[in-house]
Amino acid sequence: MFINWQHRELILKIVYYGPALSGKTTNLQQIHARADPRRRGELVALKLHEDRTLYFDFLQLELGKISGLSPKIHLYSVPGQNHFEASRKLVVRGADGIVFVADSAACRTNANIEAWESMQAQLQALNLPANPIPVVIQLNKRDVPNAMPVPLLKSIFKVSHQATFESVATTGQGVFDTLKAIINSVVTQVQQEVA
Amino acid sequence: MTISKRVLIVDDEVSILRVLSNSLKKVDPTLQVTTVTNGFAALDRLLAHPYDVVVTDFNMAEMDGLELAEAIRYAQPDARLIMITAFGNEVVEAEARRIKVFRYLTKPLEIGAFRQVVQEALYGQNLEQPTVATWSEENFRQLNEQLGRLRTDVKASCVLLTDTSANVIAKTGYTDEIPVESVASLLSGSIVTLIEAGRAIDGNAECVHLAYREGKNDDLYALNVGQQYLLILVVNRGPYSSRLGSVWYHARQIALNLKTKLDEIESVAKNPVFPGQIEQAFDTELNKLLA
Repeated sequence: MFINWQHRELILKIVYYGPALSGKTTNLQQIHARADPRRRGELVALKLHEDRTLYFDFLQLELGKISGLSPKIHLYSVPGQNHFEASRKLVVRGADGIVFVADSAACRTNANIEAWESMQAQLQALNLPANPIPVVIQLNKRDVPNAMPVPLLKSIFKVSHQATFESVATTGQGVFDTLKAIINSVVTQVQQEVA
Repeated sequence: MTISKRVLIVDDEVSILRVLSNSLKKVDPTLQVTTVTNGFAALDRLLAHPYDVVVTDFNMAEMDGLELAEAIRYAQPDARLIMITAFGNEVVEAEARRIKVFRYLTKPLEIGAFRQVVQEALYGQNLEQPTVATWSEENFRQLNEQLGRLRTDVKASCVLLTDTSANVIAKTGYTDEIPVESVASLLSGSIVTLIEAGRAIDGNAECVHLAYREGKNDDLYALNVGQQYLLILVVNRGPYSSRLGSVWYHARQIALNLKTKLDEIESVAKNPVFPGQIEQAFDTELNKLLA
């Protein structure tokens, strides 16, 4: 959370994390398509020739005034492929909340676990104070024929007790609920820190 | 009742007086602008009325801008002075600093920049002051003054200060046409990458790094200020050749100066204060956005 009192802006940074091709960029594309054009920026995408994210995608959303401040939400997605570990680390820096976009396809289990573990390691390396960064888990691609059952996916991430969001990002299903959930978690956390 | 502000412009070329005086109508329609063609006439006016800002050309017959400035220091010590010259050199600049000229501008003068400087001199740089001040107004004033000075020195169309998460902390100049946040996020990426690449080579990250783009008209510069902040300049070069060297020189100085200042500010800037519950407000606003 960053507040610029001079411009009376409040900025939240949300990072979409997850294995390659799990649908992080698609989440941002859906949000971009649905958001009021007067209140969103362009979707900045740094892509490789195969349409894979190179460094990050970036989208800015603007909300109406809250407590006299104009909130802006910066959405980033990280590149999923293993060899972009260093870039991911840079993008995660300063994040207020993370959406972990898991791929429900059974054949992507290992990729999910690897990405999950690399995210945990990066969060630890940030040496954050007592309050950890909120993470919301999105189980994407619920429409694929070989989708893993939800309880099984949750047990893989050891988050059986935690709420997760089922989605089909290509159709927009679950995308906005996930966004609302992560922003709600971030805002709740900030309130607790202040209290 | 508000008292309208007064500006006195001194230049021995009538055509320049007309252009400068007209350009200020946009700043504030109630502004009272007086023009005179020499230093003696200026002093007459200054003895008769108080002025908030005096703009003077340096190169004038009989009494030059510096002599006038020195006299104004006695006649009206509170007036802010802006000096314009086509014959600027380090000696003149040093002298102008000594007699505490508010800003020193060189010709060819860009009218937008001139207007901006007068506005800063009249109202302080920022018309909008924070009502909930976590940073002191003094901090903002100093910060904006440095950015404003840099902008004038290198004739940038805008100067931004952001953090490496692309949060814009301060901006000065014309940014309406620029997708500021996108540019800031991309350049943050470049600079942070550059810092890491440098660190990989010699382990040292305490350097000033520059990301530079020479455009057809607009050049782009990004420098790191310590490891947390970024200074971004857009310089409209027009048809002239690149000013990489002088921009780098000025911007680097400011980057080094700002580092200490920002370290102080950062320690207090991250404590938000909200009255009551705001989760519901966020939810409502998000629903509106995605309706």
